[in-house]
Amino acid sequence: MADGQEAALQVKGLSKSFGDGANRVQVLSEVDLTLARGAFDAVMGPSGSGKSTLLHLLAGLVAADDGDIRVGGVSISTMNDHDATCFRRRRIGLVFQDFNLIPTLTAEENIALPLLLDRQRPDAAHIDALLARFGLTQRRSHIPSKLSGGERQRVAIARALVMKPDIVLADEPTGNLDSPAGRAFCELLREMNDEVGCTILMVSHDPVVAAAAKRVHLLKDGRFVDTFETGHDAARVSDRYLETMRP
Amino acid sequence: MILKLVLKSLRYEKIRLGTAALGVAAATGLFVWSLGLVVTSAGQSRERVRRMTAPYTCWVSAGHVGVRPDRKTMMRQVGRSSVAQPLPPDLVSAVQALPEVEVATPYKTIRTVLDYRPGGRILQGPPLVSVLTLAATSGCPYAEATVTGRWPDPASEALEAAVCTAVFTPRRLTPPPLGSMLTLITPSGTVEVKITAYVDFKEALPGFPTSFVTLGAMRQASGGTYDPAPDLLLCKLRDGADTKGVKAVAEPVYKVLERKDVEAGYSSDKLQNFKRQAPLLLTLSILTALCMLVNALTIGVEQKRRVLALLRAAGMTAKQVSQVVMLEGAVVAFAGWIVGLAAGWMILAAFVARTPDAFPAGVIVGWVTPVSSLIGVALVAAVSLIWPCRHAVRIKPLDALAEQEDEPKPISWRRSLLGFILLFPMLVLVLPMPITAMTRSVLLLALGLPLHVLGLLLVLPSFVSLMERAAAPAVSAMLALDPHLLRRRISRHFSRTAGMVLTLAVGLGAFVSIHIWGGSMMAPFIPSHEFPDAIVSILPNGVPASAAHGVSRLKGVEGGRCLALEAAQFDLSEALTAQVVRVSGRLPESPNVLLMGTDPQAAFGGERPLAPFRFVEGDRQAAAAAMAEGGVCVITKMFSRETGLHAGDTLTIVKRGSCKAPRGMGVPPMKHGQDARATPVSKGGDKTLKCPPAQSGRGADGADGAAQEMAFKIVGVTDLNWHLVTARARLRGRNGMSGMTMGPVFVSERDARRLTGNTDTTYFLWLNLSKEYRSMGALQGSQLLEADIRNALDIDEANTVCVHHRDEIEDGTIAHGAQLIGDMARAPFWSLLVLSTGFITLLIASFQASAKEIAVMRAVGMTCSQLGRMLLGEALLVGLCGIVLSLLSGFCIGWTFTGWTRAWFIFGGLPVSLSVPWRIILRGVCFALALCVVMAALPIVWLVRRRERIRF
Repeated sequence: MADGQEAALQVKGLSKSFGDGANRVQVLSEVDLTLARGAFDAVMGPSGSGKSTLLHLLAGLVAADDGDIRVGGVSISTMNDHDATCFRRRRIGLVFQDFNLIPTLTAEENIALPLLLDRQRPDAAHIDALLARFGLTQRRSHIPSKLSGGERQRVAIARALVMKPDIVLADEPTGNLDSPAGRAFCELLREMNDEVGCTILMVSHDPVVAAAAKRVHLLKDGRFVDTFETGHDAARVSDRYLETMRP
Repeated sequence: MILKLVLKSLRYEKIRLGTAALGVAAATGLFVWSLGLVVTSAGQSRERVRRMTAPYTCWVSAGHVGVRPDRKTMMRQVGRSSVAQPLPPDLVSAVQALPEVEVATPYKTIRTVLDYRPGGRILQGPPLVSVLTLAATSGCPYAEATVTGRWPDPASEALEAAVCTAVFTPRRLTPPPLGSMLTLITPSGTVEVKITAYVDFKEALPGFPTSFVTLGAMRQASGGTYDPAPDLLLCKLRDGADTKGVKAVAEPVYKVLERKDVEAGYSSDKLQNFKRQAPLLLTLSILTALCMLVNALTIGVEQKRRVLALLRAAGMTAKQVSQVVMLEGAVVAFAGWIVGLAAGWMILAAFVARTPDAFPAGVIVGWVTPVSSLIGVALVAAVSLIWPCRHAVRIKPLDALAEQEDEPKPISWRRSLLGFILLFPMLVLVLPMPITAMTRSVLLLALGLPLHVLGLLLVLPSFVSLMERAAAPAVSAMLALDPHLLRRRISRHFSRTAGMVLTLAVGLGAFVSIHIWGGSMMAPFIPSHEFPDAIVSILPNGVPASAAHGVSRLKGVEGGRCLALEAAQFDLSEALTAQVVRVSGRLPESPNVLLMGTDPQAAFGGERPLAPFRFVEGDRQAAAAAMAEGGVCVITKMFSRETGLHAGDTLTIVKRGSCKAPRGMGVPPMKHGQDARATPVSKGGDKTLKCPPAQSGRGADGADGAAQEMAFKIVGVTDLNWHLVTARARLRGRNGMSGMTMGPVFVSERDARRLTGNTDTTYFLWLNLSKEYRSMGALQGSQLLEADIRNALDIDEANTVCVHHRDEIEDGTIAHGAQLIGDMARAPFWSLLVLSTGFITLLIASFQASAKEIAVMRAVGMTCSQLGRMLLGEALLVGLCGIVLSLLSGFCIGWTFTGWTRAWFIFGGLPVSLSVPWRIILRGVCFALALCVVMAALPIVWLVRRRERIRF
């Protein structure tokens, strides 16, 4: 990262546990992570490794036990729920595995949801551009139940981008898509990263999906154990993953 | 397994089931309280009667002393003072000589009416009555009473009295202080006595002495000559003795009553009161419990949809699913009943403990109350389970397990239109129709109400959807939310929303309907403003006929116009009575008219008539001119409705000269309000009887023999609210006529005097107050004018002068009506309070049902405050739906019930009036909205603060 250029994401000493006493489970321990602006990184790990928890912490959805999280240079660790929510609305985009669209809102309205929550009047041109970019113009007035899985996920990514966030956090974004749709989605993410310079941190257990990113961080037992460049090579990612995760 | 599922529900869904049980408990509590109070009150009757009569155990009289008159008899007797038939001396001696009689005290009594004006105001409503008797040297005859002050000396000529507080307490009036003067109107004139003592006696039996006066006062009350012949013999029997001996001596000519004869009347009195209120209370209780149960169980089925689907997929039958729902409902209902029974009993016990005087025998609940409440709860629970069970058994396992897609269900606009149409047919029953009251009731219950309910259910989906679309933008703006967030928030989960909307509509709708009903029923009784300001009554003796001229010169009288009013009641002819039956479908309570004779040109003619009545038929000027000629009359619109008479028709009345014998004297019973003191000239049904002379020497019955029919041509019909003006001014119920009438008929003064035979005395005057007196206010102006009249006419003490101002009558009517209606409308407020707790269940269910959606919105950037406001917006939308529906339904039901009430009412010919007390209804609406907010706030705060991990 060039000197003087603020990182999109900076995590230091992040720790999180759940439960207490004998039931206490340490999910993340002393995790450090830095993403430069325009980065496209993925986090991989086995089930229960803390990937989703990491993403939830970075989004401010859950409070950490320890550590500091800075998004766009702003620390969100010390924010109260209200401030963290407003920050998340304006500066962080979220994409979920289950699309998680609001069933009663149309595609266009789902995309504009952060703006509506922020009580901003949606810029029609901006919305139109997003719809066009994701091939949703003809489907703008359809509610989610009338959209295909791929279309719903495209609505989800458009929603994540509508506020031009510092970072987009994607949690298993292709988990509910078939292979072709998944590949198409990954390609879309790469285009966003290349064209718009959008910083993306993606969580996935699938090496093919992770290979869409430029860099992969391997998470095991709550700690990052490896970081490597993907070269967009799924086989390489898979091999490295298996090697690292071998007991 | 089923029991296990239910127990898990109870454990994990405490709030939902708790609020449902609360609803059932509240309904049960209301029922237990109401019926328990009635049973307790009725159970006090023995002790109450004992206190009222102690030490006497039986009594002898010519009439029904001690028995409470029914409403009709009360109406006939209103404002009437009288002297009872005396007991023969040998009867008194015979009873006193009986071995079983320990004491037999004879009393001469005179029934008097009080001219009591608290705060200077003429008392609105029936006047106070007191039974006068000579004070005994031994003091107060009632063993349970205490005396404060100086007991009057029976031998004294001073006008003094010891008065029972029971004279004032039934009307919740404060007795005047000791030493005050009290004006008593007796058959012979007016007596003013000084109150030297009070007998603290909360209640007295009708006919028992309540004022104990000196010899001087009794003499004056008797018209100058005191005849001590008793008419009431109060007896104390020895322990263990019965009344056989007394009855053998006194009956059949005279009546012997004992305590137990009267107890039933007091017991049934309370039950009668309960019967009047019972429909409303029971309906509200049932609906409250029903709504809460249906709501809670339906929401429960919705929430457990996936669980039930899994169970069905795993092998549970539909019957078993319904058993789960039924058992849950039964447990909730039973728990609610137990709590309600205990709470109702505790509240009743606390109430009774606080008023030991009124309930000397303590709480008496009996077995009827708990058993009937249990049966009621069981029935309600059974009915309430129908919809949730139906809902539950229709869950298809695979549909429910699949991803829940929120497909918007298309609304059937045809069904909605049908539903809307079905809301209104019941309004037909507002109209006067030639059907009996019973037929009307059957139509209402069998058709009107069921169609209305069906209409509500059919129209509800589109109604909710339309309301949501209409109100969501405004609610969003108020809550600083984007309107999209409230879109389809309530219409998506229709069954949940509908339950709460109907629940609210029941509570507020009952309130609205009661006020619309009450206001509309009261409207025809608010005196018309076309009436002159005041009617002056000078009773019982009147003043010379020329008095009006003297009064007209007073400065308190406007324009120098004061008209004499000759008023008397006359029966309708048989033919006209039969016509009334044909037209209105029933025999009128008292088929007579109140003839009001006055100077027609001054009253109705000219540019500035004294009484600018609104003529709906005929011309005012022409009518006045025709009345001046004589032989014609003007009737009221109400009378026209009831009789079918119009301008151009002929009114035939019967001039008194004969009457029919009263009951119990071996002759056929009376049909109309004839004088009960008529003596038969022969037995066996001869209807031509000689009437006793009318009071004060006046008489319309100059000739013996058959009744004379008098005919008047109707030259005009005027729309007038006349009931209370004529009642309060004491125009009715004179000369042995009933206090009820079918309405005034206006004739010339000459015609009226010709019929009454009274040519020289005026009892009533008609006038407007001058501007100066009017500016003082109705009360002060009237009081001043009264004093002026008394001075100007030199009216003696034997007469009372009352200026009955129309505005005072109107205020009194409105206040009394408002109090009655307010008392009735209190129950729906309570019901609304309980029903609104359903919001807690609704919001929690809504939150849980859309938990994932809410989590997404929180993740995308919805703050807790926005979430709370969104949930509040949902509650407000549901509340608004309930409010609008309650206004619509309450209007329909309230107005329909005016028609139903009119059909059963003792007064005929009432117009189809609609009066909507907007201010009161607005207050109710605001209360309902406030309740929505308060009830929603509790779960919102709890839900929003939970801070669960946002799960996806």
